[in-house]
Amino acid sequence: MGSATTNLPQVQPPGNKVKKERYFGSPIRIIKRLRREWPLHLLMVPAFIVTLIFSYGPMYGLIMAFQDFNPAASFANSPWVGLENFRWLFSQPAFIRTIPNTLFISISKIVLMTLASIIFSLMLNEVRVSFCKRFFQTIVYIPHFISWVILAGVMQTLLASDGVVNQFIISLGGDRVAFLTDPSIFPWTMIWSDVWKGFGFGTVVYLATITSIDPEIYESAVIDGASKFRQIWSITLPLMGPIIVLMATLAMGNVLNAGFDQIYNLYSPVVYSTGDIIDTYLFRIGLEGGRFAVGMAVGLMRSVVSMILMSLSLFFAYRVANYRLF
Amino acid sequence: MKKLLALVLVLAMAFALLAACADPDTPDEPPATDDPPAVVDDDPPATTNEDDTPPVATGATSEFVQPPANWDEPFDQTVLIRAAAPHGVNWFFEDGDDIGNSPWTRLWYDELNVQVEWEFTPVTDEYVTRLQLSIAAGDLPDVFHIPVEDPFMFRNLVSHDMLLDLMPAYQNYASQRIRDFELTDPDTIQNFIVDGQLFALPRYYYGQIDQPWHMWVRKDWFEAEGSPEIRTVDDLEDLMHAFIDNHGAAYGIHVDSDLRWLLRTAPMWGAYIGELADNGYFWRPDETGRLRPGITFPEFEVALENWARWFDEGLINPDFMTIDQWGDNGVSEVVNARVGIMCWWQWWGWWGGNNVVVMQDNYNAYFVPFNLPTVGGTQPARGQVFWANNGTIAASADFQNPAALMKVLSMNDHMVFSPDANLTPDQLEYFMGNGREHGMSPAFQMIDPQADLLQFQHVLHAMETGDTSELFTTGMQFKHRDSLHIQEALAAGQIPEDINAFGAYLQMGFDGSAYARSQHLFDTGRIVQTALWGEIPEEFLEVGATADMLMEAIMLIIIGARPVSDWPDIIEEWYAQGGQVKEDAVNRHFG
Repeated sequence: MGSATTNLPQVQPPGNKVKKERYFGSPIRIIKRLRREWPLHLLMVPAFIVTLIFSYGPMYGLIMAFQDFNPAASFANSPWVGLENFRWLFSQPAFIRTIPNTLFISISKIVLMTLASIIFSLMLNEVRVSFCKRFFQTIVYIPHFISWVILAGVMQTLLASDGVVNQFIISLGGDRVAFLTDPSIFPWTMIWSDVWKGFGFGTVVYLATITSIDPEIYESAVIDGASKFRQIWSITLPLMGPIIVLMATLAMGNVLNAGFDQIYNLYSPVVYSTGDIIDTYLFRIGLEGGRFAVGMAVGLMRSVVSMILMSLSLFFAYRVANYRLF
Repeated sequence: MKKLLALVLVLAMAFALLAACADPDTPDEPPATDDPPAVVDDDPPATTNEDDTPPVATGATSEFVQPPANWDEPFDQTVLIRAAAPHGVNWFFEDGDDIGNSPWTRLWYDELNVQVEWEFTPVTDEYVTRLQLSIAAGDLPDVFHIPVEDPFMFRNLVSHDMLLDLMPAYQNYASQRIRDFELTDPDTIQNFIVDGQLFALPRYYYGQIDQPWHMWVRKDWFEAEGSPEIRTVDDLEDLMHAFIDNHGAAYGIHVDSDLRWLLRTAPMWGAYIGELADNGYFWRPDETGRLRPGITFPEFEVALENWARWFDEGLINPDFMTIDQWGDNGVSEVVNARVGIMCWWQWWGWWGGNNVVVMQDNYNAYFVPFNLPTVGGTQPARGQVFWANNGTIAASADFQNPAALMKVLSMNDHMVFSPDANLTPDQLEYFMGNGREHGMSPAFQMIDPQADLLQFQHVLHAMETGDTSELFTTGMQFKHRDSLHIQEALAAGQIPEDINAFGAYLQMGFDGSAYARSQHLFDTGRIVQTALWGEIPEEFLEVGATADMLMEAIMLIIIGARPVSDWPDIIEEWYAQGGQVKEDAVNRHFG
């Protein structure tokens, strides 16, 4: 909790203009600082070398996206085909449909996860018994640490046609629901189960923000006769604004990642029409199908789009919440 | 001074980091190829586990060593083979043993002076990727297995001159027995001969007798229903309903997420589709003589209609899409008595048989095979037969001692399939018990294409007459031993001590066994063979995945989300997405 608080950007009171620093100083200042701090920079060299070798070196493999890649011929001798892999990819109806599927599932997860985290953190903040507060916080946080490989098995059992959930629905007079095998329901099963698994983590972040709000503001509001709801609406939410924007914009950089681990372990051909996402398609075509070049093309395209979205997110996070990564 | 100290510390850190990243196995000196050969003692063959000492690496060489002429004569100097093969997750080794130090590696070392070092042995699913990385790096192992999962890898390797011509070694150093496999199956090896050069050895297959699938029915429930005949599809459906109504089965027939178990029931309606895989399909001529896949024949629509009806009537688990055929939930449906009928391979006894009787605490709860029924019921459904080759064995172009490979292959064949092996019961257990024969790995085993047919004939004869004098191969003795074990336990009404023995018993140990059912199909001509009799045409690689869209459409039809009448449109889409290319290629190469 404490570490979460210290890692958060400082929330500025509304209306307080923040003087934004320049990213870089003048070249002369940079040289001066380097002269002064060169041992520290030298210490960074091993990490820099490792990053170059293991993070930038493999980028040479991106060339595969533009080749008719043949493992026996390796990168050097595989024929160059330009954008052919991309052209082939966009001629596949099965790939085209993964784009809206991915966006729908991913954006829904971001929106609902954010809402669930905020609402639960507000509710949790009102719990006065410390034990209960910690207990509920732990309960909702635990699923975040469980792998989807394990949870998928649990969900298949719980959500089976004769599973506990369906038995409960039937006992209430409802009809059996095909949570994992009905194409119209499957995306929502993915969205809600991911929200259930992940909102505990968001709650921790938002709760940390709430607890950092100056209690005097609430005391003033109480003196003015504000109800609990009015305090939440007029004090808590506005002061949480920057961190909400920050979390949401950072999540946007991940918008093409709709949750491979989760969907791969739970989907089946019967729900491809609504549940097949870019990553699962990439896995089937690239790895299982052995079309490495096409798989690389999908991966490259996804990375470029993610990079653009991430850049935009960081830009907005800086403008709106004064959050700066570099 | 402080700056100097900081500089020294930084350099030390950088050096330590780079040292840590270096390959610890990189030798400081070149391999000691001139070392004297390892001593091979003159003791009798180490065919028991009295000496579990691993072979000594010192002195083994990968340089050329002049091979002795006969396949069973050892090299004068220890020959080193760096090998790669997939590793089954359920392979069994004694304590302290592993694939690198098993009864088989010790046998090769003791008998042939050949030492095998494994470059990589990942689990089966990851092997192709690992091998492709090795190919891309240009660092092939000396000897490696090319699995069937990648039918194009062999051609790629040949076209880039990465494989060794094994023909001279095959002709001069392989045993006559493994060269005679060609006589039984003359087509297969031709797929790997290019311009007179043999670039890989086929592993062959256990023979066509193991290919037809059967309808496996839970025996105690079946007998409780009066052992009714299963000649027609109606008979089968009556039995499914009876199992649900009278024995607590949750549904009628077991279906998995790959639809493999269900699609194999298609011959009941005269449809032959094999497996729905991009490198597969079942090809046969239409009325014009053009080869077409089974999914395009009208009989398949009839099968689809019936499967959709089964789903609608509750005979198929509505969650079948989540049942992984190799996963826990696949077998748990069987062992937990949620289903009593399924269409499966002949080796069901090793898959479900070894668990169901224990879980049900009922010696009679195992499944027995029946030929697939038909609508009319006058004859059983035809068995589907494919061109089968269980992958290949290849050697890197740089490999110096292909004779050593031939000797190891010959030795392994001798031990398992030859009439001259004459193993004692202890030796039999030592090499074959608990699935230890897998320790040979696919990189060093060719399979006698007649093995299972001969085993079946001789084991069944021994079981029926009690005469064991003609059980002349290790495999026969092993399967007879297991079959007898089960027969005696069942006669005594007890759960067998070795439940794995159900595998051999249900495969070949009695007159109603899977192989007995298959033999009946062969004897009566009730077999249909795919026209794609060889390696997959190269053109298949040009088109994308076409099985995915079919799988999705078939599932949607089965669950009623799409009408069967959509099938012609789906086939049209399949042709547009690459099916036409495949069909043309099959007609060009096999028409």
